[in-house]
Order: sequence, then structure tokens, then C-alpha cells
Amino acid sequence: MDKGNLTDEALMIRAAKGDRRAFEGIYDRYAGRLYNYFLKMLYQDEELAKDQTQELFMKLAEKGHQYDGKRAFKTYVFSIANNMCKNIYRSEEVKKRANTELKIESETTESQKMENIDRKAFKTALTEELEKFDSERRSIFILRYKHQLSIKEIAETTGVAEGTVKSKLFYTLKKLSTQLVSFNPK
Amino acid sequence: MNENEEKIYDLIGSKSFAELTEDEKTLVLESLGSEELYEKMREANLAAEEVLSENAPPPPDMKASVMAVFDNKEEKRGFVWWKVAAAIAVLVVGAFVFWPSDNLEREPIAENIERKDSTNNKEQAPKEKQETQEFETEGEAVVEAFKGENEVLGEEAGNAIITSDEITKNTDDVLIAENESAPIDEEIMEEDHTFADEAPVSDTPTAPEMEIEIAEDFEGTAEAKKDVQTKLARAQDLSADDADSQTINEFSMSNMKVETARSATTMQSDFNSEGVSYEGISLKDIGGYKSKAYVAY
Repeated sequence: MDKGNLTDEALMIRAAKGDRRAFEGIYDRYAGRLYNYFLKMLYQDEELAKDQTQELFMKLAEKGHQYDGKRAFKTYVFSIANNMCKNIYRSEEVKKRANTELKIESETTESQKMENIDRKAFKTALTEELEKFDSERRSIFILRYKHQLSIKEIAETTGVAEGTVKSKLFYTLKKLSTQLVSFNPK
Repeated sequence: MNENEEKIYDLIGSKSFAELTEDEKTLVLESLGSEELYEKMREANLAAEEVLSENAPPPPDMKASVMAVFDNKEEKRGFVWWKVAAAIAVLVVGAFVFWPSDNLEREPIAENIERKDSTNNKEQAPKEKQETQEFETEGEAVVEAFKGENEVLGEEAGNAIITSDEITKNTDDVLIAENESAPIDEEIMEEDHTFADEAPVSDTPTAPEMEIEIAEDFEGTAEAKKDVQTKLARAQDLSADDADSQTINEFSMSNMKVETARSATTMQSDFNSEGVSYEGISLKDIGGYKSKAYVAY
């Protein structure tokens, strides 16, 4: 049977039973997404993102039998990734604070420079803004805009109520639009 | 307030300000304060989706290492299953091999006991016959001596025979008491009983029977007469007490043989293959083959 026709859930169940091709299929579908999620969540640190992605797939390989197939695999795997990021935030709390303080100092200057920046500059500015958010807000934003998870899926992944997810997204957009008010992405 | 934010967030993703209904416009203006902010939020929403949707390709070497981990884990799992299966197989085989063997081994033990007993019977029977014959020869000589020439000696010998009967009775009591006090396995008891039944009890005559048999078997034969004369001469040499003592010893020995046959488990284990020692006391130490009762006495 072609693995491409199988759902993520079916593939993962097969992989948990030792099906190498199924596990490979899971990797092909999610490696890039997870790597980029970690990349966005972990200060664009490529090495750290790579390590975390590898670790997550190792967890899937070793403890894949814990996945029962009742839950959507996408939310299952992103919730694991989200928890891993939270652990990293805890361990890198000091580093994060130091980075944030430095960025707040340069915030005004960067806002002033945004009038004439292009899409690349917007991306950079957005990334920097995201790093100022707390881990939950950042995770919700990345899951929503990068991985196109629905509000319900984000709620399942992060363990936050759907209303809270929407509210957090609203405030994040409002803050970004306020700071990027002079930027015209058209 | 929270409900309004949720509604506005839904509107940002779907409608421009111009597309909003009057109620929605009122809601947006109350919450955000201006149409411009609403439009900027819409732009940021679209831009964020577009910018963030760009994906960096995952490192190419990552797949190989991840798949190696998966393969290694599968190998380990396979090995564990093999070990578990092997352990179960060993247990099952062990159960089948050792459980019945325990029962089977009991049978040969019983057979061995039986065989040993029967061998002992066979070995013991000729020995006892030979000893009995020797005893009979000697006994007849003594009896003849008592009968023929020395009435006093004969009377004393008769007394000795009676005395030996009493001793036999005492010996019986002692042996029975010993047998009763010693816990003996039923199976062995049965064997013992068989052995006792098969034992040459009938071959070993009691004292009165022996007298008759001796008289019948040996009277009239020249050879016997010669022996009688020889024994008679020897008997004359002996003092009355010595004769009594020897007679008692000889009858006791006879009784001992009978008891040995009856209580095979007790006596058989006590005497060694040559039957020369009992409880560490050799026959030499007690001056001949005597019954336990006699030794005790």
C-alpha cells in the first residue's frame, strides 16, 4: 500500500509497530515543519532547532507506542515540540532576559527604520518582535501563521482554551500592527 | 471584552472594514478606536502568514541519524522479544523435563530397594543355610552328647534350650520395640514384609524342631557319628557353664538370623555386607555371633 495515501495517524501507528517506511513517511511530512517551528521558537538558532527536531523524532521512535491514534497526530507532535521549547525557555531564562533587554533598548531605533524597509525587513522585524513575546504567545502565533493550525488545533496543542487563543492572537496582531504601522507590506 | 476580541479576530481574517456590517463596524470602532488600526491588523495578519509560511529546508544529514535511531531501537526491541521468547521456552521445557522426571525417578528407587532386598535375600539365604547347617552339626553333637552319655549335662543343655527360648522371646520384644519406635516408610514396610515372608524363616528351625531334625537327619550316618564323637569329645572338654554359654550363643545366633530376616530394614542396615559388626561392635569384640539381646544382657 502506498504510504502517501495513509493519514498521519495511520502512518504513526504503523511506525510504532516497527514499520520503517511508515516512520520514514512521518519524517518526510513533519521534519521540515518541526524544524522550522523550532527555528522560529528558538531564536533562529539552526543548531538548536536541528537538535530539538532530532530529539523529537527519537522520542517518536522510542515512545511511539504511546500514541493511540485517537488524537490528531499534528496536534500531538506539535504539543511535544511546544513542551520541549518550554523546557528550553526555562533553562535559558537568563539568556532570554538579556536578549530582550538589549532589544528593548534598540526598539525605537528599529521602528524608525521601518518606514522604507521591504518584505525581508518586515520578516526580520516580525521575527524580532516574536522573540519579545512570552513562549505561549509566540507558540500560538507560530502555530497559527506558520503552520496554519486551526484555533481548535492550537488550543489542543498548547492546552489553552479556544477563546484565549483568539484573544492572544488578537493582541499579538494589534501589537505588531502598532509597531509596524509605518510598514506597508503591499 | 474577551468575546469582542474573539469576534474581531475572526473578522480580521475574513472581511475588510468596508465589508463589515453596521453592528460589526460599531464593535470594531468600540474595541480598536479606528478603521486604520483594523486595516493595519489585517495587513499584519496576511503578511505574517505569508512571511512565516516560508520554510527553511531541514538539514539533509538529519534524516539518516533519525532513521538510524529508529533502526537501532527496532533491533533492540527484536532482541528483547527474542530474549523473552527464549526465557519462556526454557521455562516450558524445564517444566516438562523436570516435573515428570521427579516422578519417574521414584519408581527406580523403589525398584532398586526391591532388587537390593531380593539380592540380599539371595545372598543371605545360602549364607544362612550354611551357617544353619554348621550350627545344626554342632547342635546335634551337643544334643547327642546331652542325650547319650551325660544326663546332667543333657538336663543342663535342656535348660539351656529353654533359656535360649526365653532369650529369643526377649529378643523378639526388644526387636519389636525397636521396630515400633523407628518410623519406617510404608513402602519399605511392605518390602520388609515381603522380605520377611520370603526370608528363609522356614529354613531355620526352632530349637525343638532342630532337635528332631538333627536327630532324624544325622542318626544312622557314619559320618554324622564321627562328627558326633568329635563334638562329644569337645563337649566333654567344655565345662558345664561353657557348654551352657555356647549353647545359648548358638541358639541366640539362630534366633538372631530369624529376627534379621523379619526386621530386614533394621538389621540389614546395621550389619555390613560381611555381617561381622553391629553398631560399631565387631563379632570379635563380643566373642562370637550373639544376639542384641544377649549383648545387652
